Amino acid sequence: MRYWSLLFLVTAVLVVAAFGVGAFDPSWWLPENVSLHGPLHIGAEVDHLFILILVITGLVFIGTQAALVWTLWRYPREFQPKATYQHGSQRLEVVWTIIPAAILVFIALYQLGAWTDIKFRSAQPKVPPIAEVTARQFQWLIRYPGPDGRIGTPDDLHTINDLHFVKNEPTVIHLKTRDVLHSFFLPAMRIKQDAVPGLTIPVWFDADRAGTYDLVCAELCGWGHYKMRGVVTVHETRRDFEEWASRALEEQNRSQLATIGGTVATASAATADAGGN
Amino acid sequence: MSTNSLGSADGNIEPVSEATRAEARAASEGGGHGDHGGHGHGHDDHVHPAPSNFLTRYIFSTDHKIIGIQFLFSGLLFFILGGLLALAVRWQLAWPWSRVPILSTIMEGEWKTGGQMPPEFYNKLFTMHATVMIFFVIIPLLTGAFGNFLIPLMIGARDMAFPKLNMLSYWFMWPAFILMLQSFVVEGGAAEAGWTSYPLLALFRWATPGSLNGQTLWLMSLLFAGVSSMMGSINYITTILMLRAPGMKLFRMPMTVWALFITALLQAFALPVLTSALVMQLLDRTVGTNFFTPVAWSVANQPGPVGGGQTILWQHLFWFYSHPAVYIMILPAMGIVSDVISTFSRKPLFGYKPMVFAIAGIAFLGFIVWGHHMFQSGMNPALGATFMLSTMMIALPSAIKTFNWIGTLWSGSIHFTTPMLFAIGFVSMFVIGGLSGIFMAATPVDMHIHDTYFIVGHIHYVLFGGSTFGIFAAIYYWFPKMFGRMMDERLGKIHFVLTFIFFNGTFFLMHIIGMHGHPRRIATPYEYEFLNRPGIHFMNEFMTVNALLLGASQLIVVYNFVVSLFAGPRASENPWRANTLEWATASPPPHYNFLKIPTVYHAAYEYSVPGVEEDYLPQTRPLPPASQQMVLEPARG
Amino acid sequence: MISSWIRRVGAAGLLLLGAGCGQLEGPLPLTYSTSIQAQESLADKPLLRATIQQRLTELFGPSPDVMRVPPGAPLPEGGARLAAFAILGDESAEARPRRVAFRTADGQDEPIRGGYAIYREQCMHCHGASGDGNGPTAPFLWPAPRDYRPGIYKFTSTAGSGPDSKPTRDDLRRTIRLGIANSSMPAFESLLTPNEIEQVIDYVMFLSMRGEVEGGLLFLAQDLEDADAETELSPEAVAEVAELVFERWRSAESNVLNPKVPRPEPTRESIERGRRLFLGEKGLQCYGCHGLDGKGNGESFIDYRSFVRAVFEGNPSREKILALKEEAEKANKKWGDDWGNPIRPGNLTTGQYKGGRRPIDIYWRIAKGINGTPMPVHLGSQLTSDEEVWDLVNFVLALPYQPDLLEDAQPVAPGEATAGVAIGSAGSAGH
Repeated sequence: MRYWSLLFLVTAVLVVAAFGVGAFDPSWWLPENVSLHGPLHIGAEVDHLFILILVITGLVFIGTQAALVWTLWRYPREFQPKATYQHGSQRLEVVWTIIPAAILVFIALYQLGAWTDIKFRSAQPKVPPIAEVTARQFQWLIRYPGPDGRIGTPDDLHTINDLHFVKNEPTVIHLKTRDVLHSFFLPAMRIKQDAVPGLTIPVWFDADRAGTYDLVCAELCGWGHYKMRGVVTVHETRRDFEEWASRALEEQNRSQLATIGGTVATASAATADAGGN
Repeated sequence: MSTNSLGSADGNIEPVSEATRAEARAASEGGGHGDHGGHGHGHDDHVHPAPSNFLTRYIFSTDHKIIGIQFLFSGLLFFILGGLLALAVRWQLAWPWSRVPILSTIMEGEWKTGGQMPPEFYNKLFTMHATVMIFFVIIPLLTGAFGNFLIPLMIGARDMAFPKLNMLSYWFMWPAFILMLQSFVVEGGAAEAGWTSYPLLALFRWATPGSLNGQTLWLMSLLFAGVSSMMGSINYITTILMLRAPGMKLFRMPMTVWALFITALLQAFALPVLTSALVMQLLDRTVGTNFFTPVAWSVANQPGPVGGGQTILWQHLFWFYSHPAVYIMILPAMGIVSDVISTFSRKPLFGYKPMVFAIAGIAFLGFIVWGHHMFQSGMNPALGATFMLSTMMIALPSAIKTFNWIGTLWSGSIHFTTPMLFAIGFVSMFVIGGLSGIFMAATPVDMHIHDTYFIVGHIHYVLFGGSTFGIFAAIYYWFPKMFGRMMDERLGKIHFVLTFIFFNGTFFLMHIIGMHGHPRRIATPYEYEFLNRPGIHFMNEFMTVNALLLGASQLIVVYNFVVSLFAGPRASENPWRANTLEWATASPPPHYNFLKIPTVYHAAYEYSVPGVEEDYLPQTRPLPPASQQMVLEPARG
Repeated sequence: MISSWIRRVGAAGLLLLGAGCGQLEGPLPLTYSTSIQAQESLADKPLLRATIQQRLTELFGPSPDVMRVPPGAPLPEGGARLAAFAILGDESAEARPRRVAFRTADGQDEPIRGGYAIYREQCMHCHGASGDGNGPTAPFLWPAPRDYRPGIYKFTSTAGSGPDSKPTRDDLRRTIRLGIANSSMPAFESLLTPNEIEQVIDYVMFLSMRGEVEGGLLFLAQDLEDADAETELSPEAVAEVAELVFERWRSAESNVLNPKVPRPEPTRESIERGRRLFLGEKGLQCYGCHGLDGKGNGESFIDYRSFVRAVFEGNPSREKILALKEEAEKANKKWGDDWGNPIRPGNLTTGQYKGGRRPIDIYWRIAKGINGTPMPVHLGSQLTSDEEVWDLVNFVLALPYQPDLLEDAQPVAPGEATAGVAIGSAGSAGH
């Protein structure tokens, strides 16, 4: 019954083919990557490593499956009534110990640099944090420094599930949690970091394209885990970001509803009036 | 006897009689009930009559074979439960918030949501699926069922070293079963913090409904299961070291025994850590200690109690057990597969000693890789780098094993029986499960795929494509020995083909959606824009349909198992013409296993020996003189 | 197409599993929970009960699955956004539900999912199918999810209190968009589109109006005999009850309390005036509930230990809540809200505000209180001017950043001379 080998052959072929579908449908591949050409290009390093490992493991996979399928095709009892009496081969053992070991050590050393670049504290960009992100069940509380540039003062801007930063700028956030474990996951920037009770963890990333992206909670955090979606907005320029921030701050300082004329009175506007008087 | 010198050199003749005396003592205690009236003690008769009382024979039995079969039956029953839980998980992922057949009808009285499951219920489903499958199915089936049944038979012993302890190890599972099942009906329902039970979600009673009461029962249940495993592992270690038949040197043992031996060592060293972690969490939950609670912490809008503990500590303790546990779940299957492949290739196992060393290497490295579950946990990234190195290295022994299996098949005379097909399926699928592990070992890549479906795909290739295929191979292979009847080969092959196809259909695409960023443990991915795409919908639905069909295919093996149990053709003593000792006695073996303790003359895998008429040579028969020189006897020392 | 094919194969797979008895696709029927059966005064009046049930069905439809929009209900688009299928107000009761579309700005008819479908998916597991705040997740949440049926909403911007202070659409929109801090209400802005949020608002209002009409009819029926059912609860009489409810909702938008003056700069003086108001200068007893340290642990409220024991220890239980209530009432302390759920006064030192952090939100909370809770209307009683409210707002907003504002604070007796103390306190505030 050598045809049993075909079952394994077809499976192996389909498995390899599944990675080919990504060429036609992007949802069969890595998600959109906006951290390719920025100053940190974390996404570029991660994707490069992913594809490198995919190629290496793919070749190993094809090799082992081919050997398996060929063996099953060639040596069923009908074609090999008597098995070869053989206990092993020291030479082969050495060969297939050393070669995989060399490959594994290569992968290990090769990706070490990327890891130190992405996560080691020494690699943290020397910029003030753009925001403090505090996870809670089930939302992201985000606090930006106000005009005074410091977090933790009365002029802070507070948003919920709404993280903004600027294109092509290395961006640092301080990650905290108010209750259980959460995980800050930006698929488009290939960044993931658990938020740990009691710790403040700096996380850095960047983006080379303006737009809005998903912020995912990747650590089970209770019944509403799936509802914990944040949105990340990447602004084209620093000025866009600041414009957005001042508009949001204005709304946050609202102390009267819009009058019929459409003008909005806020604390700052009121101050200006007072100054004018 | 030509091997006398070998046997006494290992010193394993004397222990046999010692253990027999222990057994005699055990029997004489049972004699108080009066059903052993005619039994004589004190003389060197190794053979004990089977207990005639139904209760002591089949329920509170100290016979390792009965205990093994008890583990087998309870494991298979929980396999059904765990599988149904998984199907409900899959249904929700494919068609979120739609009515789940049967389940919704049953639960609607409580939910009152028109059959739509509440999100916390989904969390219970996957938590309990993993818990049941890992702690009540795979570990008990591999070590409990096959470990118990096979170890004494394969090393030529009459029973375990501590038969009563062995019985206790099974009956300690029952409190675990009952507590876990009870947790489904307590206020708040079963635990829902994932099988990893990370604090603080698992710790605070109000953090999520399942943490209210279910989590406490979960912890207590696992404590019992852990004690059971501990008893089993001590027993296996002692039995294998002390009760081997004359001539059964360590390096003549079948791979199954080697694997179970090393698994038992793993359990013995790792379990105390899990046990202490479970107790710590239990104390945190019930008496207000603060092992895992940070200072003045608050969950569920409740102002916080005092604290001073470390959340990550749990992860270290938990994974210090649970990473070795991954190997506890795969090593015995590797041993089983080695035996099956060698038998049905009619060829000695390729590289027996490297295979043993590979298992030992996996076990050793298995203790220093736990941190790879915690690369993104806030652990120092420098520590992550060292864990990355050891994790990369653990791929090596697995690779060596795979090459050796293919080497065994190569130039063999392959008999495509059902157990053989499952064993080949194991090799083929384990390659996928092993290779996908390298992605996670690479720390930067892990940053993207950690906690996504890529991980779920990986563990299912290892635990279903690996362990479960191994379990199926073992069931088909040893069923004749266990029950004295043959299973139906045709149904077995249909079962294999369907299982193999639908298994791949269910789990392979998990890698694809995982690399796209689909998080695990999420009731619906479609709240996220980057996942709410036709491709992801299609893959989730495709996987669910395959999972349902995979579940349906298992009806074949249930049918085959039950019918063969009562009406299968009688099995001969050695239906597969295999070498190992369990085939040198009747099927099913008598209460005392062997009328006379066999003497072992050579390693387990002497198939197709030149100069021997048949293509196998049981371990109880010496090698023909002509081939003595050709046999690569393991080096002495 | 592929997906429906897959679903069918999936269903077939389950049939194989022996699961296939009955209908596989489609949800199970939903029913409204009802307080009619539970009403003691109607225990031996079956006709009245049946009549109320019938009138409600005529107005709002028999079940959440089959909705009617009562004539005159203040819902945009005539309630068409409630569901993809609906019977609208002017159609006969026998009319079959028809698929509705939403006319978008550019004149296209776009089929909508409807508030009902979105509510089912996102809200029902806490707020329940009837909006009674009793979905399957609800027992495990504190604060308890809102029961819409009494028509009372905590965070509104309209004058009045209780059911008279209806939320505007903007109030509801803000709660849904941003969630409620320190509660389990998540922020839906990132989960739903603005259009979907509008549909949910419609449905919440629908459930609320239905509940209020039900409550109104039960109130009417209290003193009636079975024989009066036909006459006293005629469709016309019921329509009048409903119209009262609709009118309250309709008038919400024109009833918004807009501060006459904007918030003044939070100067030290303003904050100090607010501090003295907080400590009781004009008879306000803020510290009674919120505590002299502002941490929400005041004397007028049941103590924290008893609260935790009743709410968080052991299993959720109505009995323990009732015992807490009894204990509180015996000690003459506050303990809960109008829905009978235990609550705590806000901790003002954390910088988290349930009803929103904008000055105007805090203004509303102080000026007109929080409906259904012990937080009363202040503007027009103890506080006479917007300026005083703003002083208090400035104080509250400053507190999280200046914890020493309330260091060793002592109550200020009403009418106590201000000058000397003010200077002293201002000095301490300036540390």
